[in-house]
This record gives sequence, structure tokens and C-alpha cells, in this order.
Amino acid sequence: MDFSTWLQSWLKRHPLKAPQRLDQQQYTSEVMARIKAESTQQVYRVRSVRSGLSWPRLALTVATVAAGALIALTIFRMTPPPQVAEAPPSPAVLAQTVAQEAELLAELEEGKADLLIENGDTLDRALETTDTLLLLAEIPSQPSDEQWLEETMQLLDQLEEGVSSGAEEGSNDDWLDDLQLLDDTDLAASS
Amino acid sequence: MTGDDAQIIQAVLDGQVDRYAELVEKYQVFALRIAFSFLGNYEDAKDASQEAFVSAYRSLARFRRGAAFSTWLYRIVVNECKDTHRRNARQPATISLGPAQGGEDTTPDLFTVDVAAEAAGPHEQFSNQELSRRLSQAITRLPRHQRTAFLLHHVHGLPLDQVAGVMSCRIGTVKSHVFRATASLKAQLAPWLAQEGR
Repeated sequence: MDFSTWLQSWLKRHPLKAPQRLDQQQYTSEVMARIKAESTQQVYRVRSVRSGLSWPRLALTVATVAAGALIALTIFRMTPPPQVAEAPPSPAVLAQTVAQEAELLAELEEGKADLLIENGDTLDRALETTDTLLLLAEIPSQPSDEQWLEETMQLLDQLEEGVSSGAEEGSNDDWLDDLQLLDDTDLAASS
Repeated sequence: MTGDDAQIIQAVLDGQVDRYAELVEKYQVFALRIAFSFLGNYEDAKDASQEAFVSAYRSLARFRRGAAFSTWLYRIVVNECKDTHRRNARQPATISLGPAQGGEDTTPDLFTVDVAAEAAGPHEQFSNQELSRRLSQAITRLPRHQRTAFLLHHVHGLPLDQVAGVMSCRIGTVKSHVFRATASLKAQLAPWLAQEGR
């Protein structure tokens, strides 16, 4: 008889020990008590979750709505307002606007022409001349027209003298020399 | 799975939790014996087998219809025994305050030796008790897979295909484990058996 066969026969004759102290009913009741306890806990967990969700439902809803409104308001404020498209002007209004602007430009051109300095006079002298003309215009009328006329003539004489002396003194070369001198001074100062 | 088991399981899943007691009563002895053969301790075996029943109840909804409930339960029992073994191994060794035991092996003998039923004389009765103790020690020393296959097949009498189901492996693998376990036991017991003239 080989060892395997002998061992099997011996194991059949000498079975595994049975737990003699085993009370089958107690064993079963202990297992079932644990199972029922777990089942009860599971039901309690489900109920507690449900009851926990029921009472603050209104508060949760209000809080959700408030949060949504706050988010919408924030987004609305962050978004730039849409550009309102301007209606194109009618042809008549456009033509009128063009005419007005052309007229304004023409007036400006006339003003420029008045301000043009002949013989290369400086801007200061031109402004001085303008001031003199304005002064003449602002002189109130005197009781004596002769006196007013005399004063006006004197002022005109002075004006003519100023213009002529300016024309004599200010040549193009002097003006360019002054500019060159100013440029040199600025260049030296910046360097 | 027997028709009874299938009906009971379906009833439990339908909410009749009390009917699970029928499964506990039906399989508790076998579950306890398997656990005892692995753990060698009655209290640990009881705890492990009861824990296996509770774990099986928790997972009952995932139990595959058509499979044998017993095979599924025994697999859970074996896994619970492994966990118990692991927990016990992690526990620090207790210091005995009693007299020294002189290196005595405290491995319990797992097998019943009914002295009164033995027809042989006192020497053979003593020899059988000694063989039971040595065989228990030798089984304890087997590698885990070999021990599981040997115990389930040779000690508990499960057919090879059911052992394969419990161990989640192929039948050929179970055969290999059983063969190696038997060879190892022979190697361990041979000197003593030769001395006893068996």
C-alpha cells in the first residue's frame, strides 16, 4: 500500500474533530443577530439621509436661487453693454452737415490768411498787430470825433511803423539764424 | 446550487431576512470544521465562520446564480481564515508567566482519535494519537495553497472541481497542490512511520 492510499484510509477512519461545544441554535442566532443589526443600520442610514434632506429643503432651494441670482448679476455686470447702432443720417442732413463744415473750413482758411505774416514776420508781431486792431475796436467813442479820429490816426501810424520796422529788421536770414541758434542750444542742452 | 438554496437566497433578497437562518443552519458545521482545520482553534474558527456567513449575506446580491452556494461560502470561509491568520501573526507574542514548556509543540491535533472504538491495544491507540498530532503539525507546515488543497480534498472530502472553485484555480492546479502536499507529508512522517513499523 502506498503512502497516499494509506493516508486516505487513515483519514477516513479518523475524521476531523467536530467542535463538541457547538450549540447550533446559538451559533445561528448570533449570526442572525449581526445580520439584522446590519440591516437595521442600513435602513436607519437611508431614513436618516432622507429625513436629513427633507427639513432644509426650503432653505436649500432659497439658497440655490439666491446663489444663482448673484452669479447672474455678477456676470451681467462683468459683460460690457452692447453697442447701440446709430442710425445712418439722412442724405439731406448729411448734405447740410457737409455744407456747414465746408463753410467753417473756409472761415478758418480766411482767418489763416489774415494771420499770414508777410516778409517772414514773427508770430509775436502778428499777435501784437492783432491786439492793436482789437484795441482800436474797443476804444469807446469820444465826445469829440476829431479827437477820436486823431488818436486813431496816431495808432494807425504806430501800427504802420511797427509793421514796416519789423519788415526792415526781420529778414529771412535773421529768423533762420535765430532758429538755428535755438536748435543748437537745445541740442547742447540735451547732449 | 440546490433548488432549496436558490429559493432561500431569492427569498432573502426579496426581504425575508429571517430565511437566511436556514442557510446558516445547513452549512454551519461544515464551515466551522473548515475554519477549525485551518486555524486549529475553536474560538477563532467560530468567529471566522460566523464572519464568513455575515460577509456572504452582505454580498448575496452579487452571488452568481447557477453556482453552488456551498462552494462560494467555503471560499469566503477560507479567505476569512487567511485574514484571521494574518491578524494573529501581527499580534505581539505574549509572555507566559507559567513554567517553561521545554520547547513543546503546542500545535493542536485536528483529527479525532476515538480511543474507545479502537480495536487494537493500548500501544496502537497511543500510536494513533501520536500520528494525529504529528500529521497536524506536518499539515500546518505545508505551504498555504498545498495545505488548502489537501485539507479540502482529503480531509473534508470535497471533489477536485469544488476545491478548484473554492481556490479559484484549475483542477490540474489542485491536483498538483494535492500531490506535492502528500509528498511533503510523506517526507515528514516517513521516519516516524518507519520507527513505528507502519
